[in-house]
Parts: sequence; C-alpha cells; structure tokens
Amino acid sequence: MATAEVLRFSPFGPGNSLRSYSATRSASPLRVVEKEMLRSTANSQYLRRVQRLEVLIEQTKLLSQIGANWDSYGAEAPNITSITSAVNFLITGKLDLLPIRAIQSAEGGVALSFAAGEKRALLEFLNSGTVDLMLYDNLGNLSPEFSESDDIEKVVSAIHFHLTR
Amino acid sequence: MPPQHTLHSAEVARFGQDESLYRRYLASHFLEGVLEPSAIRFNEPPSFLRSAFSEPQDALHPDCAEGKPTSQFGVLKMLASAVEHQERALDGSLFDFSNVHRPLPTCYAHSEVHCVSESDPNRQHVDPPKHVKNAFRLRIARALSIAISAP
Repeated sequence: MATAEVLRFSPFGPGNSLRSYSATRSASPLRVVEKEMLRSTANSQYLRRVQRLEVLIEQTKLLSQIGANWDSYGAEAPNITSITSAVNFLITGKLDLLPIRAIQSAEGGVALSFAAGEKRALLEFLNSGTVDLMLYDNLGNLSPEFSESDDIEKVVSAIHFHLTR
Repeated sequence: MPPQHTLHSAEVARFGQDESLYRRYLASHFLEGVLEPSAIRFNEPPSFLRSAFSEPQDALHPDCAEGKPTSQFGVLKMLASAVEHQERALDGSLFDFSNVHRPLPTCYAHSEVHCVSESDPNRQHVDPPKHVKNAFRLRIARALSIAISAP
C-alpha cells in the first residue's frame, strides 16, 4: 500500500482505538494497513538481520589477514580451521541473537562476542578445532552450567538461555 | 630511558601488596569499555612487568617486547594481588594462581602468572581445566585497567 493511502486513512477518531476498530471492522482498510505494516516491519527486520550477518561473516573472514604474534605475547593467528568453523556457525547456527562482533582470540582462534544487558557470552572457535563457550556477566560471574559440546544446537541453546533468562 | 636490564640481579620472589603489573593490549579487545577475556590467554604462563622494577611505558619498549614494534599497543595495569587466587575446578580440585618473577636479559621486571594444582607436591605450572582457565581469564580481564591508551 502506498504511503499516501496509509496517511489518508485515519482510524483514530474520538473513542475509536486501534484495537476496537480492528475488532469490529476486520475487513476494513485498516486491517490491510496493519498487515502491510507488520509485513513491512518484519521484512526490514529480516533485512537488517541479513545485513548484520553478512558483516559478521566478512569480519570473520578478514581475521585470516592477521599475522602470528598479533598480541606481541606469541598468540597464534586464527587459522583456516577456526575461521571456517566460525563462518559455518554463523551461517547454520539459526541464531535468535546474533553476535556483536568477531575478533581474534588470544587463545588462538576466532571469538564471537554476544551481549544482552549485563549478560555476556564468548564463543571461541579454536585453531585446534575445539569450541569453548564462556557464559558470564559484567560483574565477572562465570556460569558453570555449560559443559563442552560439539552439538551446535546445544551451544546455541546455552547462549540463548543465558542471555535471555 | 630503557627498562632495567637483568645484569647480575637475582629474582625477587616477594611481590609487594601495592605492587602493580603491566601488560600490552590492543584497543580492539575492548567492547563497550570492558576488556574481553578473549584478550587473555593461558595456554602458557601469561607475561607481565612488575611495577617494582618498571614503569608502564617500559611495556612498550623493545627491550621488554622481544625487540618487536609496539606502536599499536597500549598498556594495561592491575594490582599484583589480583592474581593471587585459588580457583576450584568443577570436579572440586583446587588450583593456585601466583606471580613469579622471571627476569629476562633485557627486561628485569618480567614476570609470569603460574598455575599449580594444590595436590602437586612439586608445585609445577600446569595448564588448568577449562573452567578454571576461563575463570582466571575473566577475573584478570575485570581487574585490568588502562595505564596508557592504545592508539
């Protein structure tokens, strides 16, 4: 629906809330507008998410340009194993919450940082091929709840549970 | 002025209560003003400089950086006492973290953080279990603050 059409339609007259109008006149033009707005919002959220995911994947791939000893204390550069694992995780992880960023880890590998409020999660794809997950908060409390797992769905569930509970 | 070199000085085992430790860092490892644990490694003893024998800027001097360029780094600091800690593994075993003075020929202030299992009579440094290691990384990341800002 065109913007002009949306603006022309003004349902909020005296005593005429959005809810009551929708309930009593379900086939009204407002219903069409609502649906269109919801679809449009969902579409833009989806697009934003896709764009953010693309940025994260690109960030992760760029970590291949980092050299050895990047921290000056002998840290390994992320290798093809850790970078591929991290990219695959981003593509196939079905993440409700996307990482904030991808960065090289001093342990040797790729670190994905998640945050929600005071909660933090650090998912490290190490050069050895192992995956390490730290669930913690800004006060420095480390959650012992997650045990090692190669099951990507369990990792995603643990991150989601920690960040949203 | 270059950092103090080793010369013939011996190790000084005791760290002062108010003594600080210094370490180089990259700005990219800060997220929303907080240092991320991904900046800290423990697959071998992490290195620091002791404030008893150095200044923060010594951490950026090639003599204390194996001759490598350090222009992209800043310097973090924390109290040495923040290291002295005992962590319990998920199986209940205990691990002690402590500062050890390890002078280098061109950097007398160099020290390391060692981890020993409480059950080891020889007190040798070990790579601790994952939970213990991560607890250490997180605690150290929270204890460190900026002494010299990275560019």
